[in-house]
Amino acid sequence: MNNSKYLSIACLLNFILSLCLILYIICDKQKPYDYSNEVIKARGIVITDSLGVERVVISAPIPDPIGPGYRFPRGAKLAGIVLYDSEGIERSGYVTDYDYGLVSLTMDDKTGMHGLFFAEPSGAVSLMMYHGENKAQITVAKDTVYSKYLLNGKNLDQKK
Amino acid sequence: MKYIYVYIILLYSLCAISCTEERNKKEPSISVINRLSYTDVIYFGEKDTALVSTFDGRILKFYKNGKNSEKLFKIDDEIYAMKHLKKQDMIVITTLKNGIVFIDDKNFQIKKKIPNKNWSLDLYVNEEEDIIIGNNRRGQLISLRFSDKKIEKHDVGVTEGKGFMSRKGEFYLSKNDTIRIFNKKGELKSFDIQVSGIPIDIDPNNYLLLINDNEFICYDLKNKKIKMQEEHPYWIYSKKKGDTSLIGSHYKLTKAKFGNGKIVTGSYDRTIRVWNIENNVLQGEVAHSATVSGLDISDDGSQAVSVDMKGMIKFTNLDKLSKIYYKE
Repeated sequence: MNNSKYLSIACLLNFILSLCLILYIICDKQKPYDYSNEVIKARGIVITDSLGVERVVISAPIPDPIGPGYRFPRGAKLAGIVLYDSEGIERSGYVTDYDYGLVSLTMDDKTGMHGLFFAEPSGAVSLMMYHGENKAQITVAKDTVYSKYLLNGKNLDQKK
Repeated sequence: MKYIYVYIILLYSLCAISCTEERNKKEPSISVINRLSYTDVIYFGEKDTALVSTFDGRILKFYKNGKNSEKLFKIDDEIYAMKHLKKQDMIVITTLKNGIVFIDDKNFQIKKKIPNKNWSLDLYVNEEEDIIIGNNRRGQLISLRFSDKKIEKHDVGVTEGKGFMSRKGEFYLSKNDTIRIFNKKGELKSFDIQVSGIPIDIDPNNYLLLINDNEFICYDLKNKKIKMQEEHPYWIYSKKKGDTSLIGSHYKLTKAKFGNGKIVTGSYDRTIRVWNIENNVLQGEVAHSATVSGLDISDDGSQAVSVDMKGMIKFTNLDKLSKIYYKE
C-alpha cells in the first residue's frame, strides 16, 4: 500500500470517530443533568409558577418589594428567602440583615408586616403580632421575660 | 488530499465548539416583577381606548370590547405611572432606572429623559400642561416645567407633604393629618383642613377626595365638612366553581377618582366600587381578578377604565351601572 491509501483509511477512521463523538455529545446534552451529587453556588434562585410569576426567591440581597403598580424601598439590605403571592406581592420572608445581626421571620398582608419573629445576636428573642393599634408581643432575654398587649393602642396587660 | 486535512481540522473545530458550555454574561439580578401585572392605565382619546403600562416596560393599547392589545412601546425598565400630554403630543412615564421619560404620542419614540434617582410613583399635570408633578418614593414632590419646548426641573416652592396637583395647578398636600392648599406659585392659599388621609383628586363642585387606608373621604371645601366617608363594605370572594361569598373584611384602597357625580374606588379586595355623591350610596361594583393597580376616568366623567395585578382591564360605564356585579 502506498502512503495515500494509508492516509485515506486514517481519514475515514477519523471521520467515523468524530461523527461518533458528535453524536455522543448531542445525546448526552439531551439527558437531564444529575445534580444529586453537586453543590450549587449562586447569588439567587427564583421559583416561578406556571404563569411565570415569581413565587419564591432565595437571594443575597433580596430585591425591593412590589406594591400595586409600583416598587417601594425595603429600608434595609437583607438576604434570605422571600415568598410572593399569585399577584407577585411579597407575603413572607425568612431573612438575615447585613449589619446588626438579626435573623427574622415575617408574615405580611398585601400592604405590610403583621407578624414578626426575630432573634437578636445577643440571644434575645421576640414574637410580635400587630394589626393597626392592636398589638401582642412576647420577649425572652437573658435577664427578663415579658409580654405586652395593646388593644386600640391601650395597654391591656403587662407581665414582668 | 489537502482538502481532507482541512476537513479534519473543521471537524475537530466543530467538536471543540460543541464541547464548550454556554455562559450567561449578563450581570446577575433578581427583579421580582410580575410580567402579567399592569401598573397604570390612562385614556388615549375621549373614551373606549386606553393605554396600559407594565412592570417589564411595555405600553399596550386596548379598545373596549377588543380581544387583543397592541404593543406601542418597549423600554428595558419598569413603568409605574403615565400621563398623556395632549397639547404637547407626548406621553410622559415614570420609570425605575431611566427617571421620567417623554414619548412622542404618534410614533412612540423617546423624545427626552429626565434622570431621577428616587423614582416617582404617580404623575399630575395642570391644564396648561406646562407643569408636571410626581410624588417620589421618599414622599417628596418632583416638579418639571415646559418652557420654549424645553423640559427642565423646577422648584414649585412646596415640597413637604403627600398629595397631588389639580388641573388648575393648585397643590393639595397632607402632613400630620392636616391638608394645606397652595397656589401655583407655592403660596399658602387656604385654611388648614384637619382630616386624615392623602388628597388624591378634586372635582368641579369643590369636593376633595382623600384616601385613608381602608376608607375614602369626600371633603366639601365650600362648607368645610366631610360629605362622605366610606370603606368597601365587604370582600367579594369568588370561588373557582362560581360560588361567591361576602366576607366582612375591609381592604385598603389603592386608587380613587371622581367621575361625573360619582366616586370610583379601587382596592386590594379585587373590585372597583362606584359611589353616588348626591345620595351617599354604593351604586355598583365590578370584580377584578386581582388588586386594582390603575384607574382612570374619561374626560366627560361617564366611563372608568381599571387594570389589575393579574393583567385584567375593565371599561365601566358609570352612568348605566345600576346593578351590582359580583362577577362578570
